[in-house]
Amino acid sequence: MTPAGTPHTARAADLVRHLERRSTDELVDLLVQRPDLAVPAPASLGALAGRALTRSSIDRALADLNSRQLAVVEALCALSRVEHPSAPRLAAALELAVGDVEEVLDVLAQRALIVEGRPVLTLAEACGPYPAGVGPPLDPPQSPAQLAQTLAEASPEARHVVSALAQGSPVGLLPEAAAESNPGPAEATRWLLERGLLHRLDDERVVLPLEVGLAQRDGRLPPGRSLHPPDPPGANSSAEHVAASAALQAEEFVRLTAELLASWENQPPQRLRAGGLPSRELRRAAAALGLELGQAAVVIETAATAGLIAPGGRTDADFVPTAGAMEWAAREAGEQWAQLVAPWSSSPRAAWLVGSRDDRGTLRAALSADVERGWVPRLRRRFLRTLAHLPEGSAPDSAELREILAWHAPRAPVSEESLAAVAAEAELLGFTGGGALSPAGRLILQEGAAHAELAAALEGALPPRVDELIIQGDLTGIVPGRPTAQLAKLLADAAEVESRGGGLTVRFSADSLRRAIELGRATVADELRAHSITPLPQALEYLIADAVRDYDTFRVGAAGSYVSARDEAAAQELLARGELGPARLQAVSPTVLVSPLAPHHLATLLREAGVRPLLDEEPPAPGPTTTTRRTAPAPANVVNSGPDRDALTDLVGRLRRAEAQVGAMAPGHIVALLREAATAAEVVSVVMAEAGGHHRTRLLRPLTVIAGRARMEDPAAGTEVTVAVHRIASVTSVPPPPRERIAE
Amino acid sequence: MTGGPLIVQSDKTILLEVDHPQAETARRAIAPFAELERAPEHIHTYRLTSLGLWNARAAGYDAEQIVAALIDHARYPVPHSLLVDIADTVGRYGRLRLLDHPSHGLILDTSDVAVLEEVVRTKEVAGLVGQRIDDTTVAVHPSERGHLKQVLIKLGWPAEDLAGYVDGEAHAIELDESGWELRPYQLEAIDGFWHSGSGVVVLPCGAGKTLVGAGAMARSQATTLVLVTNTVAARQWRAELLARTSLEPAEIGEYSGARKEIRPVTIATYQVLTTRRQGAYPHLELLDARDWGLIVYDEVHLLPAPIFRMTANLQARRRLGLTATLVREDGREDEVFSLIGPKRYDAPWRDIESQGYIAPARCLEVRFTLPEADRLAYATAERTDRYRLAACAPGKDDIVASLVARHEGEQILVIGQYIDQLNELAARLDAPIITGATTVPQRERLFAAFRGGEIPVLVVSKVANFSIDLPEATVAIQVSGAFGSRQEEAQRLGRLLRPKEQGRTAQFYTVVTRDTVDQEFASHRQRFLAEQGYSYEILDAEDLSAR
Repeated sequence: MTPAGTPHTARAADLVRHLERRSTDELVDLLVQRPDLAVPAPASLGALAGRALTRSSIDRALADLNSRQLAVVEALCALSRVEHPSAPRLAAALELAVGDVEEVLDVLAQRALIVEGRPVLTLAEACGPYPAGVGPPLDPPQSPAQLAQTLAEASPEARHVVSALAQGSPVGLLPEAAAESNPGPAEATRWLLERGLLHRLDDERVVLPLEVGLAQRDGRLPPGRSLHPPDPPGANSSAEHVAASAALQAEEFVRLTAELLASWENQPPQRLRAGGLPSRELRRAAAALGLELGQAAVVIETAATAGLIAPGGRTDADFVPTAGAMEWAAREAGEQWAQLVAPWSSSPRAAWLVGSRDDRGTLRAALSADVERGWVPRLRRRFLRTLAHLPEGSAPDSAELREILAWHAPRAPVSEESLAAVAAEAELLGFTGGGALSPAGRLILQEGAAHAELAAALEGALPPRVDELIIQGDLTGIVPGRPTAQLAKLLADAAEVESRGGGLTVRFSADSLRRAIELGRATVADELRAHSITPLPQALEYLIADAVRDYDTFRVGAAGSYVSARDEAAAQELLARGELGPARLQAVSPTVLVSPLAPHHLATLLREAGVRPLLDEEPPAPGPTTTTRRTAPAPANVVNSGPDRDALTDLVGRLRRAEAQVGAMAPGHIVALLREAATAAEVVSVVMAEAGGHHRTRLLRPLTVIAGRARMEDPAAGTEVTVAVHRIASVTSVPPPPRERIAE
Repeated sequence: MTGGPLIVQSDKTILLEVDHPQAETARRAIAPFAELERAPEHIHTYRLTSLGLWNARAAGYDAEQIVAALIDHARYPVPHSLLVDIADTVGRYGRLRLLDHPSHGLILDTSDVAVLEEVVRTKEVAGLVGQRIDDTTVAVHPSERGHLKQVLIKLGWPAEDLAGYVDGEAHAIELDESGWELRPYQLEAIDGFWHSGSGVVVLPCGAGKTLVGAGAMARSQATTLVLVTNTVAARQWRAELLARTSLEPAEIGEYSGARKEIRPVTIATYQVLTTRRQGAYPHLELLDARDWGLIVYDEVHLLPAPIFRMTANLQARRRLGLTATLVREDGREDEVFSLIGPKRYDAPWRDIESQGYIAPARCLEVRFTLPEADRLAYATAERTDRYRLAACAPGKDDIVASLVARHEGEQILVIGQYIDQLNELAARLDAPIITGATTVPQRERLFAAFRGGEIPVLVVSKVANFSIDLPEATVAIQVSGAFGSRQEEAQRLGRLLRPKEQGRTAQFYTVVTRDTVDQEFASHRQRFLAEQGYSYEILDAEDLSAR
């Protein structure tokens, strides 16, 4: 069997040269598109090439290809076994437009998957034994004319066998030998095997060689992957409707977050010893916000990701709003939303796992490490990108969405549950309205989108704020739209909210009005009148008057000390004394005066004025208020800037210099060269570190490279050595003397 | 986003701006599926409920029409989740259907095998259905038709009842429209009911519910059983039916504590039906005494629990519920829905008032302050005694007297809860009193004298809350009530809403003791009427006596 490495696959050295020839910008693009290559930073371009050739990196790169790109990759790998296929040849084999194929080849070259139209070795391996559903090349080779002639001589039975294997899988089972009733298939198979038009795989199976299949299908590959994206679903609603409903939801999400922070400020939830939020605290938060548990978990996780919540309190036993949360609370709604949701697409937090059980049956808690998944950011970005490619306003249902996602990344299957969860999150956060991406949601995808742009997109989509209030005889008040901040605050203080949504309805009650007065709104009636477009109903006027009257009975103020006089005359006398001016005495009743001074100061002042007061026992000094702010460090304010191109440009610069300075080889590069030599059955010159620390160069033929160990054959001595890859310093190819070419 | 008059809230309420130019169109568009919850002066509140949506589905509306009605008239975008929820809810109705099968009799049939499987496996349903006929059908015993519907609604899979109704024993009944005719809304109500076969019509007091009943009887042309709250109401029904229909006295029977007549049209009281003797209901046979074609439930919001149970067995007969308010203090609106039927007609009180069919009314709350000594007594009283103390404060007598003096020459009702208080008031005002202890003939005599104008002031206890026609009363003074009962307040106001001569405005006074639970209860009671658009004016008792 011909090895996967043929003259038509690119070798590691080709890839290194390819990388060296790329411009800095192109290399940065490569690192952006295959982020795993840059982390941790490779030491040289050789190391970069080595890493790019590892199977895991190739698999990741394949996971990012869409169905058409994969079809081209597979066609390329299949045809490369016998030729160096040109774009038109691939286009003909796939029945695609040449332009489309060229476009795909550009992408593949950009991602270092092909070099000069040839697939890198690992890519050819990753495509499996039968890429694009075709078999290995003919062995021994036959010229097309020869092949055509043999095929022409074939019996109808034999042609039937060839045709069947050319349509689907190239592998077939050998027919039952000498089935007497019907000897045809066995006879045909034997005939084909004899002429090399079928290869025997093992005792039971045969495989149709590549060229035979192609000849049978007039040079075309069997139909496999779908080459064209599924038709996008039509627009379900207008772009304005999407923008507006997503924006309302975004505003609601900000409100929910603010409410959560306020609630946790007053009563911080405990933290589990293992980290994470106890489920009773999650239930409490959900009840306070009027949400389902899953939605509450999203609110909590999002707030934490945005740095508004962190472990705090004494010994970090609680979760508390951070100092950043205070700044956040003071911002405009648009800014608040931007800060909250910007990190979403790059956050690995999978809030939908909260409340599910792990393998040991333990509940996964919110804010714990158990709900972190590395693949989540990729899924979120794929979700957003997929929606962004659809026409504006189109809202695919979950089946359609899965179909589209499957076309865009067939090698990265998505579980139905996670996709539904991500879609639900996007809706809750206000990226989508009714399942269609909003303009603000599109912005999130844009690299370097500033918070201000997001905020502006949101504000632009929201209906204008309303400053009017309609108060009715049944003691309800209605704001027919989004209330202004001032009106919203007034109503939050003076009434109970009955419903939210397009408008705001509130109910005034004796309790709510008392609360308003307690909060310092003694003139709540006037404030309401200022906003109300109707006169206040008489019932409300009475209700307010009753509430105010309740509060007239007692008053509280600040005083540092008091003077209690035996009678009114004595008190009046003190008030009249000019030299007691600094005491700023005030009568709070006919015989009691108060002063802002501390008691012993006041007593001294009085004594100096010739009055002899008795000092009542001094009360203990009030301690510091118990509401000391717990602050927790806020993480850096993450902006979705996308990958940092500047840093990557620096990295590329370093890689180039490193390549120029040292010829030393990175382990990845060494492995790539060894594997390449193994597949090609070539002898290479290997420099190895010996036990004593000195280097020794040997000519060896690598056999396998598995789990960090290379098994190699010394062709001169006829012995085998197994060496740990990290002991190999370098591998260089040796131009083989023509006579010594090692046969398979 | 049309700038329309509707604002959709996330808690499934819909706000309708009444003064918006498109308000009427929007109201018509949403009325079939949204329940009017509050109708104060500027913004009406509707609510989307499962019952309401199923009701609309039953009337032939589909989810698409409902969603379109909301989107077309909404000022702001309607939350997508709400629309999805509506579609889901609507889709649950009608997957199960009750049908009359030619060979198997009553069957439960489904278009969705999974749903049928789900429900027949529940223990609630298992006992109510019979043999499985095939994948999509299961037999139902006719006697379980009502129970099954009740249970299915609780499971969230309401069955569409297409099993039809028996026609009952035919009996000719015609409306006698000489000198009067049915009002347009009454006709709509009758049509709405007749079209669907059973259900509830909600009309304000004084809007002529009896005539809707009579109209329904004329449509059904069958023997009818009318269930009413008490004997006086029964006699009023009888008088009204004699005056407005072709029925002769011999055709109408009264089945009450006093008489047990069973005639083609029989009027029975709830009380007699629910009388128990040795654990059994001896008068239950009335329900089977004739092959009734129609059963009318007057004041359906008061329907006692045993009647619900009896009604469950009457699902094959047409049922009409009449009420001024579906608010039940016991919260059993769902049972009314599943056993009598969905609401078939409803109109806001103010609309009917503005059309001149019921008298306009002014509601006034007179607040008086307890004297210092009484305040102390109140403050130190046991919690359970506080309402009685506050409601029966002696100071109220003076206020009532001054109010009566203020309306001299008008027909005045004084309504209260506590008999002692009413007795004192009666003595003070020198007026006759009607309480539960008053005999029926005596009651009728007093009511007649009041109607005739011979008695200007009548003191009544809660026996007069319902179904008593006193069109001449123009003033009512309420001195105490049943704690915070909203429907009682509405019913009491209802006594005043029969149209008056020369379109006079009725006055409805409530005397309330300031800063006590009396005031709290009063505000709770007033909520229903305030939500119906009646604003309360507050008067200080001190100002009243000064004037």
